[in-house]
Amino acid sequence: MHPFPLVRTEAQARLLAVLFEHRGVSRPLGQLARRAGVPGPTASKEVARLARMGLVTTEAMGRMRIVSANWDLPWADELARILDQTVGVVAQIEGALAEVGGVDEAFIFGSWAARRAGTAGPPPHDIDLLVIGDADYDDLRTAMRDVEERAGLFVDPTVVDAPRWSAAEDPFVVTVKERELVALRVPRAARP
Amino acid sequence: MSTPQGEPDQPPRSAWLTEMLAEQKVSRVGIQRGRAGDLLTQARRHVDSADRLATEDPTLALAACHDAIRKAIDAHAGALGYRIQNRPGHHRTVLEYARHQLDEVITSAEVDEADRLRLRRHKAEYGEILSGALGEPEIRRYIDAARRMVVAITGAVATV
Repeated sequence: MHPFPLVRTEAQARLLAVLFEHRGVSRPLGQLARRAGVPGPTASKEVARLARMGLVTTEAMGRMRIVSANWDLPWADELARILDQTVGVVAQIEGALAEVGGVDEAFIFGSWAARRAGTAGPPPHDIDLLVIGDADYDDLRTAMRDVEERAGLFVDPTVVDAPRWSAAEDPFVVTVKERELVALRVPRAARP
Repeated sequence: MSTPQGEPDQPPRSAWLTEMLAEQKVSRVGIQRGRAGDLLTQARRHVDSADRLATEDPTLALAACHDAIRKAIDAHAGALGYRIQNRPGHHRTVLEYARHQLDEVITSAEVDEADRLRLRRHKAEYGEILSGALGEPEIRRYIDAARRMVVAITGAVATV
């Protein structure tokens, strides 16, 4: 069974996860297929099915087909969250964190988290990953390589130890806590 | 290697460069060995400065690493008689120059690391990330990458 059994195939789930990553972002079919890691012909068939189901909309632009998530669905936000947690970037990062020791807590912060929360702005160029604990920076970078390749975005980790994370006067910590954060489920194996 | 007029005496070695010349993002300026040597000296100093600043001023150390890589690549272009034009997207074009023209001495992974550094430096410079997000291990990684690239490019310029 694929990790998101409410849709027909894993390819469909991956395509939806890319499309429902951020509001207002449409993607040419070829780019969507690459980001989702789905072969082009399969992506074309699955997008046609998803369009018939009303989950996505497509628009011809010259020879290109532009695909968008249907955010008008009343349960679009819930679907986006489920996709994030199952096959999307969030799930991929959580999976990658399982390879790294010393992770007590982890969050996505910065522009990716802001766009995910619906705050307007340009599409993020990278994903800022905050790790609470004593994880090794180089280990985190190595663990995130596959995620980066699939997402087409750099994942930039920042490691903050537990005392600093609790410090009320640290400007970085205070600011991060004030802004949008996407909490990640830390795999049991990642804890020391 | 150069013509008496100091113009490049070889055709561009990559289709990418031919395209950049056509789009005037790179221009032919004549071989500039003196400028190339000066830029490489600056690049080495920037890496040394980044090393000293890594803990006390990580944002400036990041900028120094970025400048070191940019100037070293620019030096190679100058030694071959090209200049990467200072137009929007200049810093990105500089890295693509390395990917296509320096692929014998710099790996694609190193260019990707330099691209990541470019984005981090931009975000740090314009306050999109707080300096507190830049830990010493990250800065040290960029310093190592910048040093490796500057050394590799210095070797490549010496054989031009």
